[in-house]
Amino acid sequence: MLFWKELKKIIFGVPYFLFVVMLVFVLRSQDVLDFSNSKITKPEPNGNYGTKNEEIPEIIMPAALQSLYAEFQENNYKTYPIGFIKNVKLNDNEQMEIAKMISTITGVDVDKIYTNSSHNNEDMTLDIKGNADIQPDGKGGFIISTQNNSEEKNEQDQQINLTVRDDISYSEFKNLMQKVDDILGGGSAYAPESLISYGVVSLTYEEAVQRYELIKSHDKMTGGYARLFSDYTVAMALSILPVFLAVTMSIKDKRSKISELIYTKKISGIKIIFVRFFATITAVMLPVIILSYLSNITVWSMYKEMKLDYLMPLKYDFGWIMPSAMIVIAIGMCLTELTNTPIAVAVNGLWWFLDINMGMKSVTASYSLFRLVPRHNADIHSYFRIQDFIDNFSNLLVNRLLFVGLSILLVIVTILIYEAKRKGKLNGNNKIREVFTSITNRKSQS
Amino acid sequence: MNHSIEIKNLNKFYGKKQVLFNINLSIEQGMFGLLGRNGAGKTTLMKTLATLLPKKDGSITIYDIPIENEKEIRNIIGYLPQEFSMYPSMNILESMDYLAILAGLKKQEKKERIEMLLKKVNLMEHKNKKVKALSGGMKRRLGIAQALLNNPKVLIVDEPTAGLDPEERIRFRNLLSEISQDRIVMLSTHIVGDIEATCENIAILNDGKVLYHGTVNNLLAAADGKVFTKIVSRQELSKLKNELFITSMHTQGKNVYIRFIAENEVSGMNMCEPNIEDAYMLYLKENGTKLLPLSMEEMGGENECYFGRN
Repeated sequence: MLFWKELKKIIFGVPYFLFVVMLVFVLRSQDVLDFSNSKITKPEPNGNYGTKNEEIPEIIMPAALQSLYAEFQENNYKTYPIGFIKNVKLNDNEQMEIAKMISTITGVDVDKIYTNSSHNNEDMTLDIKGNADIQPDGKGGFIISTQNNSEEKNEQDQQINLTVRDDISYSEFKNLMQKVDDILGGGSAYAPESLISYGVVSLTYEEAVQRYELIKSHDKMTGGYARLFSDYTVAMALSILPVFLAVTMSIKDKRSKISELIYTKKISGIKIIFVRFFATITAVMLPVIILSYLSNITVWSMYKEMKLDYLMPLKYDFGWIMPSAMIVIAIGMCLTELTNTPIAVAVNGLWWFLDINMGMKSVTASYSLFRLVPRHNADIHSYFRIQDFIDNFSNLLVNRLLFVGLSILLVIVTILIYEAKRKGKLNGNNKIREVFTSITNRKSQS
Repeated sequence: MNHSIEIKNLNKFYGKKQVLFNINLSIEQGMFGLLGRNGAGKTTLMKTLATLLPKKDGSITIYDIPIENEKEIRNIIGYLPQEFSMYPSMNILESMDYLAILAGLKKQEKKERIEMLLKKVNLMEHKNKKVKALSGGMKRRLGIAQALLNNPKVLIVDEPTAGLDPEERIRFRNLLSEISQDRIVMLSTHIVGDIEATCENIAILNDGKVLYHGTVNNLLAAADGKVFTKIVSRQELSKLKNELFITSMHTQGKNVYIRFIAENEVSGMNMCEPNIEDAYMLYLKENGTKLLPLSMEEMGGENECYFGRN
């Protein structure tokens, strides 16, 4: 009874309307509401089956060296020290240190490496003389061809041949890369644990067939699409938007000046808080479930003769998406009850922002324990990377269970706060509200 | 079972500031009025009884249930706060339905109680009206109806007539009198007329202390022979305002009819029956409360004790 009343209160509010509009907009913009043009076909021999990452030193070492040398020449290194992208520019001494590393790996004289890069530190003006022809190279750059190519010849003379020395072992290489990572301040792709990103190999026909069979047997053809839908839904919507609903719902009693009236009623704090929590989850999950089915239905007709799992969207909705919604709603309720302010929006927003950016380095697959937004961003071109998902499933499961547990814990804390306020205690939270109000006032004045 | 509210040696602090001082009250069934000026501590006492504020020390029992047993207390009380409000988008019926669920009413009982109470407060024909569209009086009647949902043994009503027009105020007082049978209705107000019209037993609260606790008749008896009337000119009035303790005045053409409290005789004055307003003012005065005389304009209200602000 109370559940339906609370659900109605949420659903017929403006914030909920905006939530649904935002949800549809975000999912449409990520192209996960219609998969009708994304059919997985059985791999044919001699085709292109996408890539995978493997720790193969013969592939990793030259690829990493090539990348390092390119960044060294530009003196512009991409790192992710705390998740955010950071472009590192080194001083001369540090550049020399990198040159020494490259020299150790290649056997090329360090001075030659360093000199060859030094002109790149300055801004260059391109002065084209004679008859020049500028053509796009099809990769975002351009090729300049001149009739008089003596300058080009000169440059070629200066080019150095960089190959990994035959006598350098993979463990030595990793040690050197660790030093490079240290010079760069950490978080680079040269850190030993990240080197695998250079181990890009093509899938073989046999592997592609194996993945296809897994999609048939494990995913029942529908799972991969549900996974991709879940990945975007959690990352772009459910890890942030529900906090607005939780905050407006929790603050509504205060705004309508009926908190005291409700406090004097017989109902227990446990019941009212839990009912409101589940009502908000239901309100949030309703459009998600509908959209997940609208999305998944678009593929059912493509696999008519196959055995499909029609409950797959529901499994992912509850197993993958709902724990994120639960923790966000719980944070919203708890902080709003404690402070009587919408500070939860800022707290959750910051967490979401940090988490999303931490995931930038590994957007395709990340299931760490405390990730608010676990990622598995893989489409049909990589056969939804089904094997990776199966391999990491236990990590994802632990992550999701942890968030369910945390959210229930936060709801219990909310109940304790509610009961204390009901008895006229916890008046100290007025101070928090005063601080928050003064901050928002200052912002609006400036 | 003791059908009363027993308050013994109650003290209450806001931080370090004491707001209630050693309150002792025994409240029996029927209408009980808590009279006092704004800031006297009435709302604090009412909220403490409604389990909304913790007490520092002393004891409170309601129908033999200690106030610390909030769950049971909430089951037997109805509360109408000073600023009663509901979700603006809900209509009267939805509001009652929602609050009935919170009050723990079962489906059938809920339906019957809501219908009966809405009829009682004359809101049945407005049941589909949104709360945001209700007048002050209608909102207050809805407030009383919701406070009675659980058929409480004690109804706590904080400043219920503030802001109502005279007609609504009278209607509301009558409603409270009607529902005070077989239960305690505790009414706090700074409007003397509310008490006069409805309560037999009262307490006067001033600066957190109980100045008087007893029947209205006893309060009136104390003022017997001390209340007088006189018709004076406007010029004379400005002089007398500083000399006499005027409790009310009405203009009559160029003259002013004044009602005042005096220990000694003033020429041309007529003794009259004291009303509760006179008795209340006398009580405050005799207990050393600073009372400031107000202007004609400020005394223009009907039966309201505007006198005595400081």
